[in-house]
Amino acid sequence: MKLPKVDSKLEEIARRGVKKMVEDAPYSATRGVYSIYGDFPSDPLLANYFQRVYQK
Amino acid sequence: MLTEEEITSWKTAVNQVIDEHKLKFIQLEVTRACNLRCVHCGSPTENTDSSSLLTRNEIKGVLEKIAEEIIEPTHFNHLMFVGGEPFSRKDLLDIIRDTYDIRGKDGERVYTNTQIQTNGIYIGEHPETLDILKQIGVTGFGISIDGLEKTHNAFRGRKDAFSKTYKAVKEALDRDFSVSVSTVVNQSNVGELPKLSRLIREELRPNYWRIMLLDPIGRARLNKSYLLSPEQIQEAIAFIYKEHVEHIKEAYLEGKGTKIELGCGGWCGKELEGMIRPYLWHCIAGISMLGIMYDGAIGGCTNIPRDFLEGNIRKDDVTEVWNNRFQRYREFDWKKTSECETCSEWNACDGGPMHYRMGNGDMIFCLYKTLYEGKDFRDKVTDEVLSTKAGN
Repeated sequence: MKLPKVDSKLEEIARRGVKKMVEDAPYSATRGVYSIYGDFPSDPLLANYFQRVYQK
Repeated sequence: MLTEEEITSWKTAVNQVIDEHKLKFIQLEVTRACNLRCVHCGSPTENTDSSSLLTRNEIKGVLEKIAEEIIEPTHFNHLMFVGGEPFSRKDLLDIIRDTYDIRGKDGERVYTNTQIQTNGIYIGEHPETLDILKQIGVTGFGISIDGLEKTHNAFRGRKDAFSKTYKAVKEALDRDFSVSVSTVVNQSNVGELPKLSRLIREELRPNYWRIMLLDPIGRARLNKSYLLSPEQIQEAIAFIYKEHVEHIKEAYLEGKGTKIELGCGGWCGKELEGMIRPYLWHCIAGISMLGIMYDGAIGGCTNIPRDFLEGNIRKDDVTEVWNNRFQRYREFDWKKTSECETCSEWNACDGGPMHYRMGNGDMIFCLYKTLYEGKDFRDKVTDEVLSTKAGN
């Protein structure tokens, strides 16, 4: 599938995040629909997920 | 681009999650009644028996039992009230009040993240209800916007639907609820996604924008003309990809703005997984998610065909059902037929979302094959296939 052109620096952040999602498993693997209904994780290991995944 | 090693590593973790199947999410269908009659509804009123509706006491009882016997508080995430339209139920607030006080073995409240999936009409008409909902523990809403005003109103079959739903989103955000706006992409709105993005991201600014592809389940199976072509699905996925990447700094690093994701569409391959949502996809129905239908039926979520129900809270022990049934959701070899049999993605995907499976095992849609092979699954949606209970 042909993907649209995007800012390369932003794409790098996004792709780096995917690598961290793998490293973050199994916590990222249990997210499923978690992200869509709000960040109120009672599981401390799930807390700050976005920061863990997307920060350098 | 994910490597094979990374996918294998991630899948090993997923397999552990499947083995442990700790409950994280509950969808509780409090009614099938609704104040709208939307073209695409996956849980319509038709052919349902309103006399079999769960009572307030039955709902309280099953949530107490689940809290005491199934949920590990440190692993549980949220309880979502769904419909129909939940606000069609006159005792909804009483049910939520009951839920608030339910405690686990440790004496702590269990349902601390309680949300409502709604079309927003009731909230738009009665925004003061939000103050009560806040007091009784509701934390957020999923609210549907299926297009710009004209499109949304046509799709929802009511000329003031958009204005009331728009107001509902604003009022909920003003009161610091978490709001996920959901949009079902179909023939009538796929062309207006960029304009819709401006409306949602710049005007409304909800916490999340969840985009789904129109599935041929529920009422949508009755009118196949709304289903997307492979090219349109590729267009929609490309749009989500671009939106995700272009807003990644503000949404995730700066913690402001709207996060976007594709909801429940299935595995989309090593190039796109994690790039159209902030996680790698696997169906969680019956693994992390429990669905309880309006009549007490137990499934992996509330959108799967009734062929995959595993029991009923009125005659079965929900704990026993969760612990010892659900094999069809947790073991996948039965799905390895037709397109899946020789698919390169099988090991990651496990045969896709449960709601794309028919009772006879047939699959009615695959996102990966649509994106990378241009396969058109609309041909699968025949009257014969639909008669085997796609949707519910």
